Amino acid sequence: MDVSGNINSQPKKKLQRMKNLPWVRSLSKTATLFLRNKTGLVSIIVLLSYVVIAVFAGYIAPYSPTAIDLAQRQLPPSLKHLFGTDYFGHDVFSQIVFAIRLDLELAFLAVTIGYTIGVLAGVFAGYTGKFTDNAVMRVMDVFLAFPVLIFAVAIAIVVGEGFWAIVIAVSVTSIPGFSRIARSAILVTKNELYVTAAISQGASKAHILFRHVLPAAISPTIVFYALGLGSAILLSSGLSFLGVGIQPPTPELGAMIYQPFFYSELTDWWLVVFPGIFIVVIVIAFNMMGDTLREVTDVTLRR
Amino acid sequence: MKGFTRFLIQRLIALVPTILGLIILTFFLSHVIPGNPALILGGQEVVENPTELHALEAELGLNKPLYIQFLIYLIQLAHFNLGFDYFQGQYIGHEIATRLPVSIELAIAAMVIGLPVAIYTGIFAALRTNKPADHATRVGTLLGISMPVYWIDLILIIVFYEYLHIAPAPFGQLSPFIKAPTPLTGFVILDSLIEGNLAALGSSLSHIILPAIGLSFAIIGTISRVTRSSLLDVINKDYMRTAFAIGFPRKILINKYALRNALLPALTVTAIQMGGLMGGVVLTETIFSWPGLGLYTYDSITNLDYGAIMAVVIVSGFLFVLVNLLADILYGVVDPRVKY
Repeated sequence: MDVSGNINSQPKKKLQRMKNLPWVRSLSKTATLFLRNKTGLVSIIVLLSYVVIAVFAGYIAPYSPTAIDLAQRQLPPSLKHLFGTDYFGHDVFSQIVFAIRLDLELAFLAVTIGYTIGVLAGVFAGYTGKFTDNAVMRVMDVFLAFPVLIFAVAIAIVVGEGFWAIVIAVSVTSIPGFSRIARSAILVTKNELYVTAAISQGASKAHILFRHVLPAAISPTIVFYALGLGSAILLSSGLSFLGVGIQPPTPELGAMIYQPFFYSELTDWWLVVFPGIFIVVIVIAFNMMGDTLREVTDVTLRR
Repeated sequence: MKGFTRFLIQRLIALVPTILGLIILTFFLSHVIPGNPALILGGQEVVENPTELHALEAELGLNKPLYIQFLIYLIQLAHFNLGFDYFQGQYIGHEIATRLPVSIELAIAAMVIGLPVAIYTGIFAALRTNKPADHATRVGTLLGISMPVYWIDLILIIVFYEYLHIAPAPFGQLSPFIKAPTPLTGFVILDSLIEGNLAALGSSLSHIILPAIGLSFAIIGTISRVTRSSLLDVINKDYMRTAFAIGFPRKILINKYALRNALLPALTVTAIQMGGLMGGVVLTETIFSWPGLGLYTYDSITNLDYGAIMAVVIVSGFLFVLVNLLADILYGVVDPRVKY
């Protein structure tokens, strides 16, 4: 209690009240549990270092990623070129640094779009009734039966070349998965006892949705957002590897691996190994993040 | 069994809208892909000669409105006619029929390598939860699902072909200097066995091993993780704890009472993976010039071959849906609790 009439007491009280809100408490608890988990901590550190590389790419890269130096072609790793140089004399290290920026942007953008649309569709299907549910889910079944890579290639070709082709291809292919998960989460929560209680008290449908159903149903889907980031990186680099989407000289990790394959210069192992390692590490981090979130948000495991 | 028949019929009816949707979506998607197939097929000749271009377009049916083209396609499909592939000079149905076994052979090889490892490591890790062995397996399986398949393939080629010279050149199913067996089943390994062609058998086995290993990483990662978590679920059940407490032999308990329940989810995942693999794996087949459905897809996309793209997508989508149905049926066979 602040009896001295301190000017700060008002905001302090507000902060205190904020801290006691159920969702803030739950969120801060989740964050604490996540960071205490060794796997979670490692994944966050990896992601942060990638973000740092992406943000400061211009300062970290010793050379321009698109500078062609034909005198320095296909050099193995050395102190001057840490990860060697490629067929056109690009410095592989500098290319990787800029490619990380591009791939992170791609993944976050595509998954955020796909997640938003997918979850909206899933909530709509799960909450509005049997007819709309059937209609939406049958459409999603069709999308799910499509082989993901072929579907993504087709979309990317329709959209055209470049960044947005991949963003749209990856996000569209991720929609059915997200909508299925959101729908099943809604179906489970909808039948909880406390929701029935709210209905019996005469709460409106919208009130129940936003106050009681959504908060409980959304948290398990966050896991799949993290896992989706990992598959988005794999899919978008796979698309670039096939030559759709990002075109050289724009550095992209998958497209970089394609180059030695295309020119049959596989003896230049460094052109394959290093970009791949940077893909693997970030995908592992996203998968670890998903795993940890699953453990941490599972209320039944929380004591 | 009556309940089962009804379940089967219901599921088959539910497939109809999915397959129809697949066909519609594929048709319109492949027709909005920019580019004129007649131009690509005719080459330089038609570019310079508009009348020939129009003639070729008419021959391909491209001058008709889109919905008419779709109707024609549907009618042809109902007659099991997938169309003619002008690039390969072959009926698409025939092309797919010869390429499907090639993809399935690779899928089976990948499963033969991957599945035992996956199940074993899954059990191994579940029985040692939170011990170093469990953590090591976890890292391994994480790697398995996090590595891009084309990267694994290229690394395998670099190590085993370029540097160690153990593996044959990564081009197709057989070495070009060996007489191929007469295609009876379409499965090269099986055909050379039937024919007693040992040279072809050895060559085909050595060619299939690298792409199969490349594909098995993802299989191991996924299935091992599922096996581990579902076995853990079962082991923590009350009846298991009771059995442990009264001193039931551990080995029998795990092998007979825990595993049979735990392997059900693994079965579903295996079926889904198999369904995906059978429809052709574009990346692996492109890298190894493996003449299956995946390579065909890649080629027809680069050639803008509408008919072939549609056919491949429809066939692989159909396979995927069918395998899922099969998994559901198998589930009922393996699990006596499932009633239709």
